[in-house]
Amino acid sequence: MSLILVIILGLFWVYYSMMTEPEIKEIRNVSVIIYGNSSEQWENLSQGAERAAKDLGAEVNLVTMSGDNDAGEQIGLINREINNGASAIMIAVCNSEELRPYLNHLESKIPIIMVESGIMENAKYKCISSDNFEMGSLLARHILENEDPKVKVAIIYDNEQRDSVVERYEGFCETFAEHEDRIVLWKRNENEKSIESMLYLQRELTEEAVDIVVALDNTATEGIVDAVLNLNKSVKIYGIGNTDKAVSNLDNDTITELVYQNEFSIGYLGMQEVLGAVDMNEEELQSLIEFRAVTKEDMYTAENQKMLFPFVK
Amino acid sequence: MEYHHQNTGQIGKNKMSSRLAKAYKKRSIQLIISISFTAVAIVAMSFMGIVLYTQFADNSKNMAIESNKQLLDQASWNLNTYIRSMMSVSDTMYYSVIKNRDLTYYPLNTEMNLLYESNKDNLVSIVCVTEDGAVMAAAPVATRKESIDITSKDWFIQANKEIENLHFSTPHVQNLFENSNYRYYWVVSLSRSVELTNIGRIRRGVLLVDMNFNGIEQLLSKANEKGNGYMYLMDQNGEIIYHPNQQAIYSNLVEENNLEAADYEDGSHIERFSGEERVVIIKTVGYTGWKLVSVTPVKEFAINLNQIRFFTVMVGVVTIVLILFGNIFISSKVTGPIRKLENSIKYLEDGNLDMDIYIGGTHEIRHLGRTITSMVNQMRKLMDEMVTEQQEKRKSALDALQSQINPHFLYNTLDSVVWMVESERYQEAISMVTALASLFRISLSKGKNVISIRDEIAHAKYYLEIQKVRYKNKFNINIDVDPNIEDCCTIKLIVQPILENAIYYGVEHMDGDGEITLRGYEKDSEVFIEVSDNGMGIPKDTIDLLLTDDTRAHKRGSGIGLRNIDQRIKLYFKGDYGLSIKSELDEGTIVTIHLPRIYMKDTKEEKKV
Amino acid sequence: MKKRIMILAMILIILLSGCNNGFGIVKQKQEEKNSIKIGVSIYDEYDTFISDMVSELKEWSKKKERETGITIMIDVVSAGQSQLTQNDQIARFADQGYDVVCVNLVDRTDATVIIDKAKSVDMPVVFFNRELVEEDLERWDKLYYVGAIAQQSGEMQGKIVVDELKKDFGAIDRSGDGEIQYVMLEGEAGHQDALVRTQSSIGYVVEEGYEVKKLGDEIANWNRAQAMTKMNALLKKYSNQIEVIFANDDDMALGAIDALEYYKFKKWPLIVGVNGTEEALEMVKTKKMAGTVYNDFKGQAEAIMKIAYACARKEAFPDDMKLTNEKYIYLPYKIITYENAQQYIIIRED
Repeated sequence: MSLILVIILGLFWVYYSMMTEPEIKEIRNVSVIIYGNSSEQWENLSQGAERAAKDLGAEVNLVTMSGDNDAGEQIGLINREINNGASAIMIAVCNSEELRPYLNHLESKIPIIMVESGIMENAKYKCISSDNFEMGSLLARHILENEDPKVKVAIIYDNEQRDSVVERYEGFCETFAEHEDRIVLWKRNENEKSIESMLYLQRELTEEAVDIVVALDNTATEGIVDAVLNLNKSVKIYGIGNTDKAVSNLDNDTITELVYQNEFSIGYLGMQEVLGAVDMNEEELQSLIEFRAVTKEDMYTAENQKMLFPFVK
Repeated sequence: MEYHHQNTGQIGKNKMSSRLAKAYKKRSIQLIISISFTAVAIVAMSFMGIVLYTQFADNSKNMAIESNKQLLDQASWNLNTYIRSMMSVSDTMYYSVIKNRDLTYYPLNTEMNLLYESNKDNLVSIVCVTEDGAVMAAAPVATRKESIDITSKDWFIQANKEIENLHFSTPHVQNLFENSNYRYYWVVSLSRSVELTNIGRIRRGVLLVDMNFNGIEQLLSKANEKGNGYMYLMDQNGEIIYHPNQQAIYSNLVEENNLEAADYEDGSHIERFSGEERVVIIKTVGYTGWKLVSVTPVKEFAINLNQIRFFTVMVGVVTIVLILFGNIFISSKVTGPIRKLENSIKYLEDGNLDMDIYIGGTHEIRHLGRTITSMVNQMRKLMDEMVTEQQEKRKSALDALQSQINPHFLYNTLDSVVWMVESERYQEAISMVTALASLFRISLSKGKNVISIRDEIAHAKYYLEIQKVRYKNKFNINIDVDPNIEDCCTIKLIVQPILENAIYYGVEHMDGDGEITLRGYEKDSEVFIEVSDNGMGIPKDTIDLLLTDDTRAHKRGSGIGLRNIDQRIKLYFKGDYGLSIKSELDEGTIVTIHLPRIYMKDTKEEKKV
Repeated sequence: MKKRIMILAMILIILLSGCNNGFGIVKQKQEEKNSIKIGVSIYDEYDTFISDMVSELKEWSKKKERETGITIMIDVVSAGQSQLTQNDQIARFADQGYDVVCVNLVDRTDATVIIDKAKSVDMPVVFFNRELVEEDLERWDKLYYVGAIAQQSGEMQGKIVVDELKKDFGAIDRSGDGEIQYVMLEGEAGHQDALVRTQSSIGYVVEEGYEVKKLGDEIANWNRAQAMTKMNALLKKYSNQIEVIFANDDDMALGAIDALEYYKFKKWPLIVGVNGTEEALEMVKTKKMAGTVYNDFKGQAEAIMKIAYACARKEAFPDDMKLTNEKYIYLPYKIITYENAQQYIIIRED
């Protein structure tokens, strides 16, 4: 009889230990791999990611690249992070084409999610971004509304290796379809030093008499701003992005209109998805990511200023 | 009958209940003690545990709420201090500088710079504007952005609405000055209407102090580090000023119940939001009308409590187990002696009277043991006595029986009858035969041992009659029996043997001078029968032997010794009854039979021996 | 016997259950031997020089990563000019098991909290650019400082001015009174660079035998816009009287230039700054600035990273690093004038 009691006590003991186990939490490490070598343009996204991670007891490890568009390097980084024991991976692909085969064949035990730019076509992993197509379209619509229909438009179409840019371009072109003939495409060389690409743009600006330059992502927007500031040409810039530089230049009239997406939400929802706190399909996620157009007049309204001027922690 | 019925019915169930019934019936003392102690322990422990736990849970919940309240108070106090210090910057600027100065001659810049430098941790700018929206002075940066219309700014409008008050705005990005490096500041604008003097002329203007929102943010995020739950700040309309999850709320990813909370009074409330219950404590910050809100989900309390609960249960269980062991141990110690005692009694029940009863354990059990032992001893003694008595009875009865058919006496008497018949003394022969028959009838007395004294005396008379004839008046007989005792009881065949002795050893050789007296009387409520003779007497040492020695074989007479009579009397009549012999040599002998006075009608029907 | 075993078992279980009373949360320590975590806290994200430094830090670690295959995780946070915030940031790094931190102190007199925390978790600290007092640095042997000698930068500023004066005194001394009238734009109150540069730049000029007269000095907190405002006020007051503008750093010099351009001044005073930022170099090249003093941010960044890397990997410092008093690394300044401005523009680009 006493033996039975000892056994029962033993069982209780085991159960008790197990009950206290949950207190020993494992802190999950999520690697956020972004393109570009500076984390400046990712400020909003990483804040969103960190906020969600904090609520879920995880840590964010932001990994930048050495350049803008080295798919090989990015793949290497993904592998490295997986091997280093990341609990999950959030990635902004730098080159959709080249990363597609890799990601589609990647047998990963840990959850992976793409942000901002996806790889389209049977992607194994979800992509969270706003409706890029609509963003491009919105830009086009506003140009049509606010500008003379006879304007000539140049689109800086580099980084077309990224699906987000491609989608925005397509959205823009569709809305602008009637005036297709007035579109000029400028393509900067990849991996060019910023001075040279700036010179390139400046050359284009001087040579071609365009009235409006459309920039489809952050780097293009900042690039055209740099080019314009150092030149005495007046040209209207319609851009996509919301880095501090872009916002500041919107304020001083260099940029006429900006379309931006709520990158905080992208980071936040992305983190929640990849940590398993929510589970939605791409459409639902997309519907939650807002994008908006701002001009100098309304950039200081309550809604816009919250997005354009994030609280930096 | 009922039991029978049940039995034929549900057999399985019955087995269990009968087992239980049996166990219940068995009710060993140890089991009872153990179970009842354990039950008491469990009840007590549970009661205590539940009471303490509930108390603790309540207490800790209250304490948590209290500590949150304290944190809230602390944060509120800090916020107050912060706001006050900003207000005092504005006050100083106005009352000590602007008010009494003709601004045409004495510009504000120096003092403004001074105030800025000494408060630059919390300030972004100090600006003084005219009623037209022109900047009079500003620190540290004065390069205004072009195309900014100050008069349309909220802080400007509000300040002019109520000129007697300071006005606080909600946080916003400062849009006044040129900034380098794409710098921007989130500020809370503190504005007031001021009186500007220019060459004696008074105009109204607005003094703006832009507080660095960082200061508020730091204060509150520090408060949010401790405690469970979080704290946020909103204005009187419910618009969020600071929230730890601000960005997510603005992006509509997370919801907060601020609009409802704006209507709450100061103090703590319980609300339900997003599917969980929370404790919400509100504190209004003075002057600004802002409200600090502390939110703690109720389940945060619960998490901690879960562990405590489990711990309590664990402790309870361990304690109960300990108590169980303790009980078993103690109860076994206590009931051990009882059990041993019980075992001894079991042996007793089986009839082993010579087992030693266990003596041990507590004083009471020892007492029990000792008493039982003495009882058993007594029982044993009594049983032995009974056995001996029965044996004696049998023996005496046998003896009596034997004496009933004394061959010598019969032989001689019949001889006498034959002689009488041959002598044609028919009348004497008839009397003798009749007497003999009567004598035998009484001897038998239908097998009874106890007869009336009347019958016993009658028996003695018949005997004497016969002996008289045989001994031809060798002696005289006197019979004197009190009629009152004739209905009393006596053992049969006690007088005749004594008479026999008196004849054979007393007066036989006295040649006609022998006197035998048979007396029966009542004295002190007891019955006495005396047989006295004046014969030879009995020597002293012989008297003693007479009543004790059983082995004397009588050559003559009935064969029943005096001892036998004495024994029989003693056997039947408990007490100090029996024979006593008094004798003097050559004088005579008196044999006294001492009997209790028991009337025949008072005796029950005696079992046949 | 059986009873004894029972009792023993009971005692054991009670003891064990008593022991395990702690509900502790175990933090996961970085077990990977092939990665290191470096935390960097800067006093303000809008300071041009500091931003340049941070870029260099990141560049260096990327290069090192490729070289060694060891993952270097650099986490840069801005303290937003609040020492309290910075203390919290360092505390966070410490709690999360960072191998080493690099700290650009907000308040150089208030390093105690950071030093105490770092010491308590054995996390070395490399301070940079904003120098703490020696007493604080002495408190632990794993505290380091990388910077430059402020005295030198001030003197170099003075030298630039003196060289110009030597070339053409009259052109500068517009008032012709033989005295050089100047204004000083100062960095933050209490900052060692501000104090020392202010004093040593003028000191050098004076020692070279020139007469100087201070028209005004304003605190512009290393901030271009503030410098512009202050300069505006000074220009309003003194206008053409100002012959030389000393700015404790390039951002403020640029602010002064902004003011001059705003007022469309024809004849500009001599302007000198410190740091050698990209824009300033352009200004020097276009002769709007007389010169600036190159603050070797690349060299400093490299020194910081080398120390940090060695500390994180628990290796010895590379031989080519000479520490003064085993704690300090000072990198020398370089004078930049029109002649070598282009050179430095290129150096910056690398």
